[in-house]
Amino acid sequence: MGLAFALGLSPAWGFTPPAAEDVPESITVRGKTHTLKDLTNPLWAQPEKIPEFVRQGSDLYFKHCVFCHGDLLNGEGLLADRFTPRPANFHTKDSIFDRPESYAFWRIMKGGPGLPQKSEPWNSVMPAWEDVLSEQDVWKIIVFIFDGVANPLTPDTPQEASLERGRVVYEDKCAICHGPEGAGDGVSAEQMSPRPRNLTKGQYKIRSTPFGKIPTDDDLHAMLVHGYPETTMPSWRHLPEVDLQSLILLLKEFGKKKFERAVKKNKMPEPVVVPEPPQFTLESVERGRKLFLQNCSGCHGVKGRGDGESTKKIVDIATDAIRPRNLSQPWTFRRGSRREDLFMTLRTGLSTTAMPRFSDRIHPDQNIWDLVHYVQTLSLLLKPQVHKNLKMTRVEGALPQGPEDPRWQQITSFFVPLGSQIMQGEKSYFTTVNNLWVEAVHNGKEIALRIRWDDPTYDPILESVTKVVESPAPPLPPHLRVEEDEEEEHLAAASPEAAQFPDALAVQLAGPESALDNLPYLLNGDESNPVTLWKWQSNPNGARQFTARGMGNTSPIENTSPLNSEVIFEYGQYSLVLKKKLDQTDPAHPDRLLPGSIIPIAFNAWDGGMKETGTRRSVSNWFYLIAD
Amino acid sequence: MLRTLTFITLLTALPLSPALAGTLKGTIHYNGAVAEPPVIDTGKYKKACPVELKDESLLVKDKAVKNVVVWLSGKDAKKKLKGKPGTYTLDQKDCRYEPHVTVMTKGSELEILSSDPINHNIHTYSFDNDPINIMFTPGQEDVQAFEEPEPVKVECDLHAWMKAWVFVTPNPYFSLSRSDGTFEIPDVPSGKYTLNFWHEKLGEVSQKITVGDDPQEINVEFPDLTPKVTQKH
Ligand code: HEC
Ligand code: HEC
Ligand code: HEC
Repeated sequence: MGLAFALGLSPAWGFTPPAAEDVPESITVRGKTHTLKDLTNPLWAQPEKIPEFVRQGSDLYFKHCVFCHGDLLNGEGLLADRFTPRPANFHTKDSIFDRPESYAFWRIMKGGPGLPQKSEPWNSVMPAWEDVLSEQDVWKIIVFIFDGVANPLTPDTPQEASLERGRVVYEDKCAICHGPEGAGDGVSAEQMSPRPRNLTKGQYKIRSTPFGKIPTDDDLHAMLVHGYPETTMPSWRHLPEVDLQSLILLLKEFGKKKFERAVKKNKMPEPVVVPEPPQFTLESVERGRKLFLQNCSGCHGVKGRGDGESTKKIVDIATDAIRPRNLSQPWTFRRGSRREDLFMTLRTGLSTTAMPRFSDRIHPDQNIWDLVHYVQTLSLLLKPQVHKNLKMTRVEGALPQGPEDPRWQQITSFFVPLGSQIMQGEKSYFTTVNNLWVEAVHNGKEIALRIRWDDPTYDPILESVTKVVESPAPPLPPHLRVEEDEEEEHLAAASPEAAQFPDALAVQLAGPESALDNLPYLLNGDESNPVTLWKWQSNPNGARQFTARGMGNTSPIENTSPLNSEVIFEYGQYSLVLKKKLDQTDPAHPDRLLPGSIIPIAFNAWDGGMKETGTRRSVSNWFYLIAD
Repeated sequence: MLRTLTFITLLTALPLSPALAGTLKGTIHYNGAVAEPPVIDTGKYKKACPVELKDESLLVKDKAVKNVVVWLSGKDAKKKLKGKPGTYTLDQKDCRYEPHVTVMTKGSELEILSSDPINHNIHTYSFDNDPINIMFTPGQEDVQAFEEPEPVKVECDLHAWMKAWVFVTPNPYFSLSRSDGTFEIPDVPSGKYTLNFWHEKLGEVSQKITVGDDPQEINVEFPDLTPKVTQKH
């Protein structure tokens, strides 16, 4: 079998682009062979057309590349920290900017799968674009990237801020997303959620002024400098101050009707002042818990995972009414997650969204601080670290039973980020499952994985086969409560109907016949190098085993030991246990359960509620289970 | 978009009134097919709310339409129709808004009450007025001024069926049609105006009129067309 998995080998995690000598001599794209040494970008021969090419390249880049490489070309796109290696930063030394353009042409056409064997363990998510983009398109994108790297700032910075300068910078940096007139209708608006904001209404989600009021100049400045975490809106702190001030003038011009009215009526809104935070105490957390259930759980859900009862009414992605934030993932908070930030968010709400403000007429500052303290207990304060090596704990005797077995609490949990599958086939630009937690155990013969992921909507059919706990509506005073047995017959008896698309989760294992230094392509392998999938889905509830040679090319595995699954859904989170007694046909066969052996593993997830199915899913890179 | 409509104007000869002002009144009809308003089952809230509530978005009885806002606009309206803003109340009571439609002139204040024993969040959708979104606990009160003429939609994000409208008019010469479809705007100074009719489902229609010092009866029929869609943001 040739599967020499060196014990204790620590698989590669960093990444260096291929050196000159590893670049192929020639490549074939759609039947045409290009000798890279002689290949140059033909577009530079038409200097008068370069501005046009930059514009067209920019449109293409924002449709296809911005999600990973970011609009600042620095590799900090929305999906940047979901994948390893990270998307390339085109500004660094030795980036494509410092190499022949034919190098960039090759890398874009052939992507991660086209990398030489040497770079293999990295298994980059960089897509191959040869089937999507024409030669001309790729050259245009290269012109755009090179132009952007050479001119990161809008040229000719003036001495003083002005509306005219604001327009120039806006046209250069912002119009691609926010649209030529600020209406939020840029080229890739449909691929983003939240979408770029319509800036013409003078309505801002984040301000220091009360809900619905215009922001102060300082607010606008802070917004641009801070950016919007976990959206495509980056931070613009690198722009010269004059340009930021000019953009602020323009933003006020866009929302003129509202801004001018405030000036005319001499009604400039007063910013809310955040008082000195009190001590964090357990009493305060407990008061906060009660306030949270009463005031927040209707939208955010009991555990804050955005699964509250009212989400059925308020969420409508088509009109950009996005889900209440998952409060257990504070790195997604746009304003920030410090106590002061949360206080401000609760006092001012998020205009144009369902997120209300909590008035001081009824909630004294103490209530707000209590809520803030409770919200902080719903999550880890810092985004968890990502470890490439996932320890698989050895236990003696029987493995933990279902998802609620208390023994799981003794097992180290690992945080695994997932990103949208936007590399091949039908794409899913904004996915629900952006990370999961995994715990792994074995006893030398059997292996069990517990996987937990947040999904605010579950497949109703599960109610009839397993434990499902929904976030209830906020509690009512006892005399107003309707007990279960008092519910109308027709409501209680209605049997659940399956969702149109099931929820699903797949564990991907390499091989069985692949070597550690030649892992299958992360998207379910390919013809020559397949993967094994252990896939659970909600309807019919259960797990099945497949061999996959690329996404969509799967066949069931017969003649192997059964894969058992047990799942529960509680307050916006699935918890799934997959268990299997390994046999010799498995990629993780019993020999791999010796101390120190390595089992490559990756994850795919589908949120049926968001119509994810087939290639529309979220995916992870390869990770390594390391057996105890 | 404004649509033309069938106007039946009856000029009734009545004794001359001393001031040069006339009363506008009439009845508003809709001949299109109207389904029985859906009944809302309040489910888990049936002890805190009535067990069933009626959808109030289109109330038509014998072709007569309730809750149509009628107001005057135009050059003469800007010049002649003056008056003071007022204070109105909107109560969150029995898990509905009372009243379902509030009409007020710009600059008026809305006193928002919360008589229910449970929380509601009052969330308004407006373009020119500052929208609000406040969580209300039982007994909480708040006051909100509306400065700009426009229809403002009011919703509770916690109870999907709760909807209301606050219609802000440019002047205090307005009326809200009663359940028999009748409306009345008294003492309109003589002049040339546009008389407007707005309904949350049926849309908006208007017509030019001239007001003398005689009362006018104006009967209106909303055209049977696809209802206007009201946008959020
Ligand atoms: C799903 C994320 C993703 C998307 C979408 C994506 N890239 Fe990449 N790209 C990467 C990652 C990760 C790397 C670094 C690893 C590698 O070089 O393969 C990379 C590397 C590159 C490199 C090579 C850099 C070097 O120095 O070798 C180029 C050039 C590039 N991308 C261009 C593009 C262009 C142009 C597009 C759009 C047409 C695009 N990428 C879309 C993730 C992405
Ligand atoms: C890659 C796309 C993209 C680019 C480029 C971009 N934005 Fe944004 N912007 C967004 C998105 C998406 C949001 C919405 C965030 C949200 O709703 O949470 C946003 C939000 C905003 C907001 C609003 C906020 C609010 O609180 O309601 C402002 C102001 C803004 N952008 C200004 C700018 C300016 C100025 C530039 C150029 C310097 C710019 N944006 C460039 C995508 C972009
Ligand atoms: C009526 C529904 C609703 C209620 C009630 C509600 N929220 Fe929200 N909340 C939302 C929505 C929707 C968003 C996301 C809006 C967006 O970004 O477009 C949000 C966002 C947030 C955010 C993220 C802010 C940021 O900076 O990104 C926090 C924190 C938050 N809510 C906390 C709370 C707390 C605490 C309460 C109770 C005191 C509460 N919410 C009540 C709907 C609600």
